[in-house]
Amino acid sequence: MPEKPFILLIEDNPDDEALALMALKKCGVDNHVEVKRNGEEALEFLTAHREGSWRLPALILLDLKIPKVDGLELLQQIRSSDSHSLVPVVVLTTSNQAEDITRSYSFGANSYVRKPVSFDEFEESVRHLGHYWLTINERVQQSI
Amino acid sequence: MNAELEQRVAERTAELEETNEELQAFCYSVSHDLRQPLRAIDGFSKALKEDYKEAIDEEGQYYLERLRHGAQRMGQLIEDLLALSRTSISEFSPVEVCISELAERILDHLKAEEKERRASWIIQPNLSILADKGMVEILLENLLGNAWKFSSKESETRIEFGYLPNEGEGEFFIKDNGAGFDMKYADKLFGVFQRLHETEEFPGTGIGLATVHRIVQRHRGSIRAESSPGEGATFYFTLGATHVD
Repeated sequence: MPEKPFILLIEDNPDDEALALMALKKCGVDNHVEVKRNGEEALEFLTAHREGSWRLPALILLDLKIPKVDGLELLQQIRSSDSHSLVPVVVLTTSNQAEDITRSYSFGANSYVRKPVSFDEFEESVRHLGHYWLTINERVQQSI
Repeated sequence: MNAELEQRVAERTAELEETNEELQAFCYSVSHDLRQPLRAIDGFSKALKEDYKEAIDEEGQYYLERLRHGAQRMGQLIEDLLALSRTSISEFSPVEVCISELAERILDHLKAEEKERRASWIIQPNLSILADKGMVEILLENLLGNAWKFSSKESETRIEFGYLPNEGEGEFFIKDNGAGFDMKYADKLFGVFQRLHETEEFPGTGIGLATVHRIVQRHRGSIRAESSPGEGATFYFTLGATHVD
């Protein structure tokens, strides 16, 4: 029985972290969520997983505006790494500026969720995207 | 003398560029940092409402609903203010835009959001202009959105979009059969936060027409409106170097 896939959430704001966890829970996603507060911590975590040959996250939820290594920089590093370049990354951000969206995709994001003021909208986006990427990834991992 | 003038122009341009960059950074920060606490208010109010349903009585539930409503309204205000400031500082790049197609698409979208509403519209086909496409889209979304909103209480919404080849500069117009307004308040129409209807009656932030005005100004055009209460409204606008096919 393989270990259940887990999600890596990179978010510096504790309120937004709690809201993201709440949205996932309300959508019925009960996978473990590992939270990292900044890009540096996230990179260390991913590198440790690579070296320890532990399982990689099935999905990365990445806030763009995080301290130290910012979201886009981190995304570039994830995509250029041999071991975790294929992990799906969903960018979470408050911004709806066209350049942020374009840059996220050009740096290799798989999807983009805007964190709206309304929790209902956020929950809806998480419902669609969270399930989608977790399912895809589970199927890919099973077929390898 | 000439060299001195050129030097001054170069300095001014550099100063303006710097101010513009600062403004852009400011807007970026506003869009991120001001919205975050609102998200917390809305999200945790919802959590209280749903997860502590038994512990909170009906009045408490109502207060939580008001909290959410307030947070969402402020979110909308921030969003609209940002759209307004973006129209001032974003780059201006004119291209040929088929404004008729754009209008059709926006109205189709509005109708799709509210399928049950009886609505019809007439759009003069093949009207093209030389303008900044993104800005024209925002302008039409606001004007057609208003026509749609203020005609929501009629038995059937009727909207017309076309071009009047007046003597001199021709004008585009958007006409609706909605609630209209009293012309004595016409000078308030395009001011920021100015509203001529109660929020409960027709929701809105009072920033849409200020944004439209700013867009028209950036195109060196003009805008005016004609209306009377209960008789619908017509907005006439030009976008500077307008040309019509």
